[in-house]
Amino acid sequence: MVPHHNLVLSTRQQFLKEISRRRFFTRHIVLISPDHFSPRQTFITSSTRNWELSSGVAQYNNFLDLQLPSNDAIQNDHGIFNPLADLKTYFPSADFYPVIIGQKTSVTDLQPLLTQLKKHCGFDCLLVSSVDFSHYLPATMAFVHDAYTLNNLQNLDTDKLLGSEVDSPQSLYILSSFSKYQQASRWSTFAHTNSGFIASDPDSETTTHIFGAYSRGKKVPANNLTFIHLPYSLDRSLSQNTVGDRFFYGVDKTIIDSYVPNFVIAKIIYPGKVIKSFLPLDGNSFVRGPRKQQLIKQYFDSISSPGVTKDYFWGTLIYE
Amino acid sequence: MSEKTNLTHLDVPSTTPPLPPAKTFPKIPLAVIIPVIVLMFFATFTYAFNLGKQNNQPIVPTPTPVPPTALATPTEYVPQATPTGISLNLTTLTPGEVTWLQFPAAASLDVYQKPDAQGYIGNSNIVYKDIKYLHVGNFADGSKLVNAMVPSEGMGIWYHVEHFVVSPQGPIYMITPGKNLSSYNNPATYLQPKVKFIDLKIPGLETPDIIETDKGSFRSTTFFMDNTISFTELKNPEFVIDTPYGRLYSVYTDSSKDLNLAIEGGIYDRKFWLRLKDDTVRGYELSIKFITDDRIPKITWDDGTSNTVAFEAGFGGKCGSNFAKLLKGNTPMTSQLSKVGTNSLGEPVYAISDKTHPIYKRIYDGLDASTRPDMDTFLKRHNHFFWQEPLGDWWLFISTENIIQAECAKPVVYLYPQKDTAVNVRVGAAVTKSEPLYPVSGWNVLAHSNGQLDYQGQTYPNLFWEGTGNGIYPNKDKYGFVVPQSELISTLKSHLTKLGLNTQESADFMEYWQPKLPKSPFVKLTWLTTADMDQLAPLTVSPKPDTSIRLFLDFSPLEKPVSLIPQKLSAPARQGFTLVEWGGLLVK
Repeated sequence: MVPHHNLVLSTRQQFLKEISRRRFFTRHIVLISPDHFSPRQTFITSSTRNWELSSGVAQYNNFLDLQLPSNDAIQNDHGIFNPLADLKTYFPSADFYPVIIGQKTSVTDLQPLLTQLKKHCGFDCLLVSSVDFSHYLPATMAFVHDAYTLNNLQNLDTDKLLGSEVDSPQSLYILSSFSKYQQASRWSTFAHTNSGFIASDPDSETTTHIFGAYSRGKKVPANNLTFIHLPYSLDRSLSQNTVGDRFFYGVDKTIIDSYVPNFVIAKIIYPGKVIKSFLPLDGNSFVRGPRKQQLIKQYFDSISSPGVTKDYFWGTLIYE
Repeated sequence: MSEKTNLTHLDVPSTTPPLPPAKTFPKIPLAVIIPVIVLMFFATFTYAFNLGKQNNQPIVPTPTPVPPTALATPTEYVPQATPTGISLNLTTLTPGEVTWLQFPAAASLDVYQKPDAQGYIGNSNIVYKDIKYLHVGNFADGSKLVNAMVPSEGMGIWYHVEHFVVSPQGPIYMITPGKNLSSYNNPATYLQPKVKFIDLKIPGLETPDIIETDKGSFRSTTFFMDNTISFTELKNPEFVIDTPYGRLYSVYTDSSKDLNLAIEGGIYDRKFWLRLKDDTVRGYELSIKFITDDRIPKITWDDGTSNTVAFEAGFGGKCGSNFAKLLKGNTPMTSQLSKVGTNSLGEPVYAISDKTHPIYKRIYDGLDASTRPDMDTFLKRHNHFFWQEPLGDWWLFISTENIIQAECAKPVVYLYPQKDTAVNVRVGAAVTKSEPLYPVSGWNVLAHSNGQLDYQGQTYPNLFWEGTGNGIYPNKDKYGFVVPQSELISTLKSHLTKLGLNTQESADFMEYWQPKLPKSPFVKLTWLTTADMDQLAPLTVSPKPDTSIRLFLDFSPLEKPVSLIPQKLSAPARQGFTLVEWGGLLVK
């Protein structure tokens, strides 16, 4: 799995280089991406064209024997052409079957693609999902959403992955279902980055990037739990333009309690460790900037629990 | 700054195993390898020798003889198996050559199962509704060729076309459009049983992926299922060239106002349209040979370096598309350009020599503030270039390093029926965010006269959607108001009242937009009204409202006043079932 956001271009290249060392016999690559531009968003489409890339010509090959409708929108979709150029670099002799998946495509409609993958994508075939993770949220909250997604990737929980806060849950569904079928159950994360952490900005709307792969081996179960604690009930319909719709999903559970008034607490419980991220709230909006820092300082200074590490800049408390 | 942060400051416990090590081959002594090779050679030789002795045993089984298939007669159905199992009965028909009508004529046809037939493509549905039928040509045998223009979701600016042959004897045949149709689409599920199917190629309706001409190579930009409008719907088409598939036209759109920057001679967007014989058009774009599909222009800069970064034509724009891509022919702007490099075709590329030109700041302002370099570093790198195409226009390309994209409008819809009414609302746009969640077939809500909306057990004050308008962004660059910062809020409130919003709607509007307004000395306000919005992102509401008020704010910062034609702001009286929608353009 690779992100298509080119902010992390060099990490994507390092990751694919690593994968190519392990998969030197790869002859076919299926690249799946969200469909960013088509007016109709309930279809899986493709194109039979070859791609002239900076790294060479990527040859189209319908080795999946799948008759998908042709869609020229694919040629302008960065979800395809950004990673495709890197794939061509590190798998120079492979051919490609690119697919874009509408962001409202149902699980039922994913089945023909999955069936053909199971039938035709063998040991010499690599399935690549081009997915950007959490969007538009402050970095620390994105981190909690990512923990939920990573947990379910690691556990191969295909159903829960459909509730992930990513730009293509369908691509994660395909990737995890196919990996499960291939008994490639071992998930490895190569890198996990976020534009807010890269820019050291705790307030900006961020995008997360996760680089990882399934390989042969036993599943290493993950058992973290993710929560959002709300200080009061937030009307989702009135919050679309403030905290945004993505605020409302992508964790195991959302709870309304007010034990820390006016703070959203995004929490991850790991075995032996708890990370809590504090995001002060004003009505339906996040408080940002100096006022946020002031509110966090005020609250953190009042805490004197043993074993807690306070990070005032990011607004996190770590309990061990 | 390293991009690979890996969030180490949080010291997350790692339960994720690392990537497995790459396979390496153990070192094997030569004394072992040589005997193994000899042994393998001997074994292979023995196997081949034995095969030769058993030549009466075929390795590949002989195929079972298949009885010859009877030739299809014109009235015989021939089932065609497809990879996904959908089998369409095809009829052979030879209606002869088509004589095209100069102007398509309105026609009526009764071919769909019901007025709102749900077609299924795979398991995804498409609504066959508000279909326009056009008689476009006559076959030699007297049959008529009729286009069914199926709007994309909502009333639609774009259409999906299905072609029908209506024979003088009565039978109606659907022409299966496209080689893959039978593998993913099953028209038998949404057409009446009387409709038969033919696989007929009609010269004049072909739309190849690439059209090569003396003036360049053009490639199709067809969206799946939404690919057509009528030629008469194009605004000021300019003839470009005759091709074997029809005449190619260009349509320019002035995007100066979107850029909010004075470019002498203007700056434009342009689309190419191939006019087919049935008077529909399909989108094409110029294929630029020195730019790869991953958007890397093959350029050697005059400082001796080779370009390695991606560029996009124009500025990152509204609703997912770039804008302000072209200077139309030679303009005063082109005299300000200096050569900065040469592309792989040996053609020069240029940049604006004056680094204080406001276009540099405009490009810089479009970068992601959290990751962009400082201004001096930005100015030192190749952040844009101009290239003159064979057709004579000048393309502006901008580096996509650190670039961000603007978001689209965020409209909110209110419904006020006179009594409790079940209402279906469909948006003519690709909806990316919505509340409540927007289903393919639109929202089905129970609307109350006080504006309260019941949907799936929840109550909502309005319907929110966000996405990409399928239509054309109206050109209103010369219209609007220049408002001093000190009067901005009061002016906006006054405008909203004049445009017909009530107190609650105005408050909702201000709550959302006030924090997002520019802080510049002056602000340009331009209003898109109901007619404009119906063009950009049409709403289909059933039952149809008696009164519709749709408004959309397009604003931009100004350092000093500019001359604009003031818009006349008015609102219809709210009579009967009323729909209100407000939105605006959000540039992040």
